[in-house]
Amino acid sequence: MTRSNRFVLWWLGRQGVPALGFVAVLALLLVLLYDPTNVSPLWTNLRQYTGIIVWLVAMLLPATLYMSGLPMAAGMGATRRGFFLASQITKLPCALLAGVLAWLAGGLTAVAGGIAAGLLAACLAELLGTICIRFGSKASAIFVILCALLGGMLGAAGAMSSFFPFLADLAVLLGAVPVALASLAGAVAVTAAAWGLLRNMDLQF
Amino acid sequence: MEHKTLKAQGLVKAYGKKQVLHGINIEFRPGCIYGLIGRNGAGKTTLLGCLTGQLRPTGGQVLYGEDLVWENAKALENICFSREMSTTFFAGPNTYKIRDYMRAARAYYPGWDEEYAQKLVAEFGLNVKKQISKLSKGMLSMVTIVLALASRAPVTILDEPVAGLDVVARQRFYDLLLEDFEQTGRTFVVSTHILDEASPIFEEVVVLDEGNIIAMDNTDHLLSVLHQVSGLEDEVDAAVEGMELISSRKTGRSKTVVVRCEESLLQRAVAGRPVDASRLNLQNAFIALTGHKEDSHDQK
Repeated sequence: MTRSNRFVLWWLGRQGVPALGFVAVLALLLVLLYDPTNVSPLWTNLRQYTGIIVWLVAMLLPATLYMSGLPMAAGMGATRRGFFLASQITKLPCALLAGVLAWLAGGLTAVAGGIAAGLLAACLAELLGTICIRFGSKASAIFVILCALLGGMLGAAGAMSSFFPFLADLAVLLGAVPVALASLAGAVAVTAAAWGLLRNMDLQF
Repeated sequence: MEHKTLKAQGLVKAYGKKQVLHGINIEFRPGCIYGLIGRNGAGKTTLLGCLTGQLRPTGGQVLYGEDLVWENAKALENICFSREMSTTFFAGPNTYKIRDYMRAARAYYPGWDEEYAQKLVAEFGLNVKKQISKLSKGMLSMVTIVLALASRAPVTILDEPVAGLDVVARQRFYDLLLEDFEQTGRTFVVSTHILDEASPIFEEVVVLDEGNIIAMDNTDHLLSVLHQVSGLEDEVDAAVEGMELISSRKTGRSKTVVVRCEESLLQRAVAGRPVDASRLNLQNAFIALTGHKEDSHDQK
């Protein structure tokens, strides 16, 4: 096991256990609240937003690893390549949770697309972390605003029907496989962009 | 653990158009304590960052033995760079605790000595549960010292390790450093501004000025060849004629110069002349080497 793998696993334990505990409690609530026969707006909204919160918490992992873990690791002789490879594991919780949410919203056929979309979101979080490290908090703020605008537009579109059914309908319309493949291609592209920023970066903070 | 020479060859580092290091050539041999000294902004931390792979050199290369240091995990595990800690991370406080840093160090330094680290923590009276953001400057320095010494890395680099420490803690640090050096014989590179205190522990001294190494020598030898000569201007000029002038300062008709030459040569030159000649301590040698350039150009 490489030094950075050991570091990231330790870091996941330190950061991730409380976060995953929080996620687990919310996920449990989500499962308990899941009742396909109950169509009242209160329960529907609660289900949806609980799921989104759980997912956002998981999405924070890759970004915070870069923003707080990289300065510490770099000071102790981490290589960029080693740290980057080790950091990929932090995307898993986000991808898996997105798969669970997709399953709840669209059934088993939506799982692959959900996982791929979750992976893409985790890759965007990783990119946010590297932008923050590379260009500082101002550039990160611009990036967050752009993401929020994009997310807001998607959310508004989703709100016209209902967020998850909208995505499920979209997946059905386009087909699950193309959605999953497009998300994976996006994830690869975003990961490549993050590595491009990191590979020659000065790591003195 | 391998004990090899850490060296920079033609090392250049620029930030945008501003060049900070100008083709540095330097070797840190195993089993030696080096002092790296320079004025603020001279490029010390940049040099150390390049030596440890944290900064990408714009030109030249850094080698550990014969291996490139850049992105080389095998080389980097032999090098510990202990530098000033930041109490903030971007927008928020550094919420890691001292024990978190120690656990991270355990992952990164193959020779990490946990028992020794715990001993040092107890000796400095550090509370490992305390957050980095809540530590005083002196305590932050103590944490960096613990990490550096307990890393047991063959090349251990400390950047301003005594900043914020009181005089007793500083002396304890020097003692610990020497004890460790006697036991392990590893290489230490210490960057500091407190020269008088630290000079007895430096076997070799490297003086960095505006991105160039202007002196790299055995400390005793460097101090044995730097001399201060003072007296009436004409007498001083006559006494030091032909010698390498480092700096000069005029006060009325009096003049004080610092020259570099062998002591026997100086003794012959000043014999019978009404001038005072004396050796310099490291602090005054440093001031002469880096502090009065503009005066020296109009002399000799």
